[in-house]
Amino acid sequence: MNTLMQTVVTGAVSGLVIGGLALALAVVYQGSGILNFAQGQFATVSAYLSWQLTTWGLPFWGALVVSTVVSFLLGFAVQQIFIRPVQRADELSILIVTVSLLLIADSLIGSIWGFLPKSLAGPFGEAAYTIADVVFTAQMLAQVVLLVIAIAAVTILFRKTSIGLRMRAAAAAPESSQLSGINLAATLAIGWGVAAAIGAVAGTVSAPVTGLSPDVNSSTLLLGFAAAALGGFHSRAGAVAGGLIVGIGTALAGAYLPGVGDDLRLMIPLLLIVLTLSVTREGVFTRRGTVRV
Amino acid sequence: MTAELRLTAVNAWYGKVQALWNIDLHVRPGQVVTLLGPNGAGKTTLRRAINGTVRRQGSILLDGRPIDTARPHTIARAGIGTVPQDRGTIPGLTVAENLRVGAIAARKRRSGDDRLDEVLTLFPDLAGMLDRPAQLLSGGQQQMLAIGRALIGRPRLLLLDEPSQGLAPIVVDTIFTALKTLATDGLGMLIAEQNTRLGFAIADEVIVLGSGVIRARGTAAELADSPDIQAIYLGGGAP
Ligand SMILES: Nc1ncnc2c1ncn2[C@@H]1O[C@H](COP(=O)(O)OP(=O)(O)O)[C@@H](O)[C@H]1O
Ligand SMILES: [Mg+2]
Repeated sequence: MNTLMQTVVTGAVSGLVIGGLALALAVVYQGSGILNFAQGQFATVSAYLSWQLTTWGLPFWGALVVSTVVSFLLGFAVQQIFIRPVQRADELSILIVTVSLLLIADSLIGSIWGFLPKSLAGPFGEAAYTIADVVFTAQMLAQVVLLVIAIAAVTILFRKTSIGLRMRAAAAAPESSQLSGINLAATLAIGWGVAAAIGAVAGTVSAPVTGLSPDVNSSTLLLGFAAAALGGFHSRAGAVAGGLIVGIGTALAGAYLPGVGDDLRLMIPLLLIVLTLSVTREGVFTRRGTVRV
Repeated sequence: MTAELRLTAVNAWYGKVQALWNIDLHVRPGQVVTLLGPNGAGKTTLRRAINGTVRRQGSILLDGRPIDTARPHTIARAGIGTVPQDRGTIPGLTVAENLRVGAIAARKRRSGDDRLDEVLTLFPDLAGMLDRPAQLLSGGQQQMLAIGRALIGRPRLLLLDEPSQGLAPIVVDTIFTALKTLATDGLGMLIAEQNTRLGFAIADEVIVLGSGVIRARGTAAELADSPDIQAIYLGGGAP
């Protein structure tokens, strides 16, 4: 077995999950200028929702689709109910609201589903393939395919559809967009819905590996913040690339840096966040002086 | 096709600070009204009051229907096209995408597409740069794009906020020639200007704002002959 390549591949697979969460963070940040600290917990709620649906007899795929759609609606509703009233408030107030959302999602999960871990069975079985000395499980491959589809769908949404055009316009020039007939409040809420939907895909497809517990995505969110920081917070492609870098980087560090291991791995994204923000304040994938959409 | 706008006793505020007092204004169908006044007079605030992007109170009627509590996008879709002071082109979007955003205000999506040809006829410069990011355009091209974007929404009344600002004289000529063409075609306009010569030349009626109140109003001829005009109006450029 090729240990180095195996570490890189495994890191890249979790990097896509991190990239998915970073993409969700970037979509919200682009549109609303808000860092949603509850984004990871939204993904966890979605994953529990998928689990619930499978216990009600829905196959994994059906649960994934329904959970993604419901998550979109939840994200939309959260923006309209909790964020819209404070959208014009100062950054600190908004920060307090999103941190509160995180805590509320936490206790909701606890009160509905309890704090004991649950497992969501993936439909991929135990199959594994060895290509060039690297082991790919069916779960890994499915995870990659589904996340790539989700990321591609978001890209198409933004690049090719009228709603995407509205979201890009509203993000770049809110006032001018309104004066051209764009419903700003609805467009921002759609952004929150899209972000929650990406989180639902990321949370659900990784659940068969990670299992379900209320804090299952809290470290992924930290990694997602690191990825988004690398990507500059308002570059969607940068967020995904940042996710891959963070995923592979932490996997390599955990495997090869003496003393890091599994426990200190989370220091790496934190250091990355501090480093990128102190060096650029903008993220390395964002060119200065141009507006990325 | 072209609309009537009537403001009665309109006030506006930024937070608790009042910026407009008791504004009465009437743009008849197809008429061009120019708002003159120095920096800080309240021209942009008045434009925002009509757009619904500043807190305002008072009666604002578009073709007799109140729009003073409507939201900005609804007002745009009701037929008020706007070229804001910063030109309002959308950076990161191409010229073509900027124009497509403009079509959102048009009630029938198709009619926006038809309008593209008219805009490119009015501003042939834009035709060759449809795929260019808007932020790479020159100031004059951006102003043409901003006007084009407003026109594609099939407005029945056009608000323009200092369309000559920061532009070379030859570009200003192009822009104002286009505006005169639109006026001749019967499109009503409310134009805020600091350049009195341009403002007088295109206006059916001139309104002079100062410190948030209307200081004088009349036809271009009436105001140009008024000996008080320079005393009232302290901005640049002689009438
Ligand atoms: N965003 C704002 N917040 C607070 N006050 C403002 C704002 N914009 C303009 N003002 C104030 O309102 C008054 C009118 O400004 P404005 O309408 O921009 O004038 P003009 O467009 O004629 O130059 C000025 O005193 C200005 O300082
Ligand atoms: Mg102004």
